[in-house]
Amino acid sequence: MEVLKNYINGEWVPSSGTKTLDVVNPATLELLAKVPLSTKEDVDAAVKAAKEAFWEWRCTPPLTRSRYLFEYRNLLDQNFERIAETIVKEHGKTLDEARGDIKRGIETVELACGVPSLMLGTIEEDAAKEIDEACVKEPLGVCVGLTPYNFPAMIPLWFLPMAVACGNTFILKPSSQVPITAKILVELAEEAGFPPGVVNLLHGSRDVSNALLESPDVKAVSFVGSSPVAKHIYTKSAQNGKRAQCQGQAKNFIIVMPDANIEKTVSALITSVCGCAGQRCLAGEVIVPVGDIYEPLRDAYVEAARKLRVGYGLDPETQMGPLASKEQCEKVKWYIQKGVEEGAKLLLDGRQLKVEKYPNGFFVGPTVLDEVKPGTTVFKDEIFGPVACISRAQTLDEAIKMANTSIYGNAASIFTSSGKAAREFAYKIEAGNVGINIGVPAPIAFFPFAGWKDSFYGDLHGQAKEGIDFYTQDKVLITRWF
Amino acid sequence: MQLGTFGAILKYAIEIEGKAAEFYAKLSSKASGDAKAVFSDLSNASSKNVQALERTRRMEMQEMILEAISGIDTENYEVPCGEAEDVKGAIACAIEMETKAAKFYSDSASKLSFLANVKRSLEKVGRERLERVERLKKIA
Repeated sequence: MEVLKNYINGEWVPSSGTKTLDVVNPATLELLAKVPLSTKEDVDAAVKAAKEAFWEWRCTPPLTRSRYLFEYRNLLDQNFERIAETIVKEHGKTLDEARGDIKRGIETVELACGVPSLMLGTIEEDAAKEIDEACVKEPLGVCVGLTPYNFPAMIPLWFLPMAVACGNTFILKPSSQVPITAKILVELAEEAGFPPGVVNLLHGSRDVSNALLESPDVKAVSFVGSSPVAKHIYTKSAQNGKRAQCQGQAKNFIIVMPDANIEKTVSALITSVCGCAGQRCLAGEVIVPVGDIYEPLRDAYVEAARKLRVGYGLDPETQMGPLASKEQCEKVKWYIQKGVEEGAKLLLDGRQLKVEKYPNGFFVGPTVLDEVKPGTTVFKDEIFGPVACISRAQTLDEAIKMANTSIYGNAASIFTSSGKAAREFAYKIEAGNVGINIGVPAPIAFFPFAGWKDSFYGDLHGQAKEGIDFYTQDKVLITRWF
Repeated sequence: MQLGTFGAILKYAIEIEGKAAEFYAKLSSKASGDAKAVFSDLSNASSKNVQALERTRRMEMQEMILEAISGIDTENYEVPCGEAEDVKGAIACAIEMETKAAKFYSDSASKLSFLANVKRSLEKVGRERLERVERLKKIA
């Protein structure tokens, strides 16, 4: 079985460590590869390579850097289906969801191709008499991306292209659950011709992340994962003088007003709750029907959820795949049981699901917990599975207040045909990504992924113009000629 | 087979275009005169459709609003036009194939109406497949 290699200074090299983890297809349980747990020596080698490559890359004109990115974008496009299939195999999501994953990543590469314009500085003549003042954007140095398992292509590609476009060098440390997609992304970066040391790949666990956080040569850290880890990384980065943007967990509320179109709303709710088997930080988890739409909406949702075909993501009939790991599968089942114990009514139990062809896969079917009370565990915690928690509210104001009790603020949506209700919701809701008749309010690459509260630790997000600001530092030039 | 997703529909569409391209290319090699030119055109058109549909699959996917689909069963659109013994028989089969293909595109477009550009692309290919029927009738 292949043991994956690190990519350091333009070379594919084995880890100096001997420990590995298995990379397993969560539907079939096929062993796909072994991922090494890299060592401090591997980290030091990667940081050294990235540091040494920085100056030459930083001096490469932005227009030239963007040409590498154009090439990279074309290679991603040419390998689109191969990457999508790899994502299905190592993550479990359906082929369409995997295509969405890579397409979103390509969008960020396309954004980064515009770096010559995006990095333009500013100047003011006569800031004082015969003194001009200019501000230019300069890269930081070695930047690191610590990425999670739920979007194997999109999230590495939020950070890698923006970082290198700005003239930084980059070390990617992907989740050890989905390292094969990361390997392909880096192979394509190599093929695109990025000079040695500009893009590096380190496999491993939290030890690798901690070593990177402790390295004085790492200047900026981008992270996506759980909120406790996000907070830890943010804190540790700050202690070590690094910039950090750390995206955490979510508990996304979807409010459905009595005037909503039930059929269209239910379709969107299914996509939101069950897409990627619920393993999206923008997935809807709590549905709050307002007033007398409660019963008809709930019943229509249960009926639609029951019909969803669950299976292996590469099978064309599959509409929802497995959870990404055994641990996640067990965790979701635990939450379902917890919800029942805390008084919710279990209208649809995904724990009972059997997928005939893949009896050992990590499947949990769509699940509906009804009459979920505010304050209970499943109302508060992120489940990260295809579990809809339905809670009752009598008014929009009450529903918004319920949603705003969450410690998280990643996303929230409303379904309504009332502009007034939509505006009030958008104005009062405490979340960074807001959907109006959209169940998955995922910003495209030209907007920041704007999590709030415990869903985000940092000042600048990694995407869009904020990404340029994050990956550069301003230098103000004040000039007077005699 | 039930096609329950955007990707399954596009995959099937790409497959039927690939098969049509191959089918007409073989017919073109057997035919002569006007028929040969028509078959060659249709083969090229299907090959272009493959490229257009692959591009659509890559570029038009919107996972934010991706919905599960029901009611598209490939059994309703299958026409096995294998190795034809004579050109005339092959044309008769081709007419049926084109009619059913057009129906597939029309049905699929309505199911994917939430993706406006995909709907438009499928309708365009469907119209092109339907126009083939008249051309085939002229050489029948």
